[in-house]
Amino acid sequence: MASESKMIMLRSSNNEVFEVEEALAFESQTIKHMIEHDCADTVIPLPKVSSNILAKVIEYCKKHVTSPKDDNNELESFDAEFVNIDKNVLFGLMSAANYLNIKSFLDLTSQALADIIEEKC
Amino acid sequence: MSTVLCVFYFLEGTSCFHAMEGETSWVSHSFDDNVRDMVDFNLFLERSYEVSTEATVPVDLILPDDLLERILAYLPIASIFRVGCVCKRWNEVVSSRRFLWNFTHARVHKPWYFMFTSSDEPVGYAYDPILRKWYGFELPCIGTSSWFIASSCGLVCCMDNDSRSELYVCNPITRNYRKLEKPPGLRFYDYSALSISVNKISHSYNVSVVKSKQVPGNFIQWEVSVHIYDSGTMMWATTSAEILTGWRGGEESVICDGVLYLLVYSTGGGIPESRHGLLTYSLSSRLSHGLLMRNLISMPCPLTCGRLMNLKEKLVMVGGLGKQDRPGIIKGIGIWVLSGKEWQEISRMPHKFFQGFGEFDDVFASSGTDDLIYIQSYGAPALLSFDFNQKQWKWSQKCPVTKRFPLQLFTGFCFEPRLEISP
Repeated sequence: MASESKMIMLRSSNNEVFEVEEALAFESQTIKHMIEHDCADTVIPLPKVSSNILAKVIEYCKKHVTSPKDDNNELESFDAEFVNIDKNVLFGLMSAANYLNIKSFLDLTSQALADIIEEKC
Repeated sequence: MSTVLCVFYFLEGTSCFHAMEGETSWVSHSFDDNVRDMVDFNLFLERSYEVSTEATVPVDLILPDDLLERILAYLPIASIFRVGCVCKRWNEVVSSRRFLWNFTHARVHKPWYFMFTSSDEPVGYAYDPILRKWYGFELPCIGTSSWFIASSCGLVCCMDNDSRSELYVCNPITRNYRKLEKPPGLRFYDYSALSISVNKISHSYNVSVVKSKQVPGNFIQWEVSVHIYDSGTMMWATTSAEILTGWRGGEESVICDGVLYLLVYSTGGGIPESRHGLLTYSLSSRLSHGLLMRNLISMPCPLTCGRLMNLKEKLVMVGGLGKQDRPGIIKGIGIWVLSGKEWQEISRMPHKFFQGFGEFDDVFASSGTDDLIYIQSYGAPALLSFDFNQKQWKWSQKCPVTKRFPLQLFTGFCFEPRLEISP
């Protein structure tokens, strides 16, 4: 049997479709739930996530799914760089992480926003 | 106007943290640019965004309360007060029960250590072992470093060392406090041991004061009485008063799992090596014979100084190990846990840490709670910690205080930083 991983289609709020591997999509508990409970068709609609944000979420998940488990340093520096962005975008990412229920991503973005707030205080 | 609201809330919840030069500054004493920035930031959070070719956020993004709450929960405990002062909405978020509950339960808290930097005022530095940071700190209620101090589960109990009639229970972070009526019993006596035990679930607490007084004209007999305060009834009860022969109480006690432990010292005249012992007293059974001398637990080895502490309801003792031939000097420090009536040795301070203190008297300060033990030499502001779980010794970050004169003494105590508990 060919070990081809199943592909999942995600549609952003502005109707752009992203094709991702199932393993990656399953980083999102929301998507995983929808698929496992047959709530979605061929394409999963994500009306709360714009394509720009979705692209970044996918980038994060891809890195975390494909990285070797023991390479913590690399993941740490990737994460640090990843949240070193404009506040607006960071909000969008956090909001998406919450909606999509990706725990590690939610922790990362929340902490980054808290750090910004603390700096300003 | 939100500006006015901010100042109002700032004054209402005055923080104990103050800005020290060169260190992490806390709440400033004036409504300055930083806070103004924060107001703008909040408006920024609430504004909705429009989609443009440049924009990367969805159209209707307004940060809902639950997300705001989630972000604020990632702040260190020390910043919560400040963010609560930004505006009414933020104040409500950080004061809400749900926030406080999540804040307490979703993260790792480790006990802080407060070190006095003055012997006349309750000021000093509080150490956060997770962030490895020292904060300038002023304690509520406590008068000076000579006061008796005990802590449990975020509450600190203190009693003055003069009249021994001023007794408070406070939360050092929120500065809420309650003054207790003075304990009953002897007005003039020699030694006092203070302890507090807080019920983690109900937040009710017991305070114990053990008074020891030498029987006049008698060197080996001491009158020892136990007085317990119940926060539920708000009353004291004298639960035990007896004469001990050959032993006296001191200033070291702790309540662990409903049992009061008192460190006692032998008064057998003439013996140069002062022996230590441990008396136990069950708070629930309140046996009429009180301290029950026949339950005296002896020490694992001769100690110069013993410090008792409650680590997750286990009785732990930190003791100084004397040198046989040289009194007044210790050769080491050990940590034991009481298991039934036997002591189990947990660790000995490795030599390199011992040396790191420089001068180490046979008497030193040590306190601990939860999973952490702190040890400090009276002669220097160096602070060492022992993680009971990991069995690991570690120096704290260097405390930003220097010894100003040769005889300056440093002492302190540890407490759990909690926002949700009040006396």
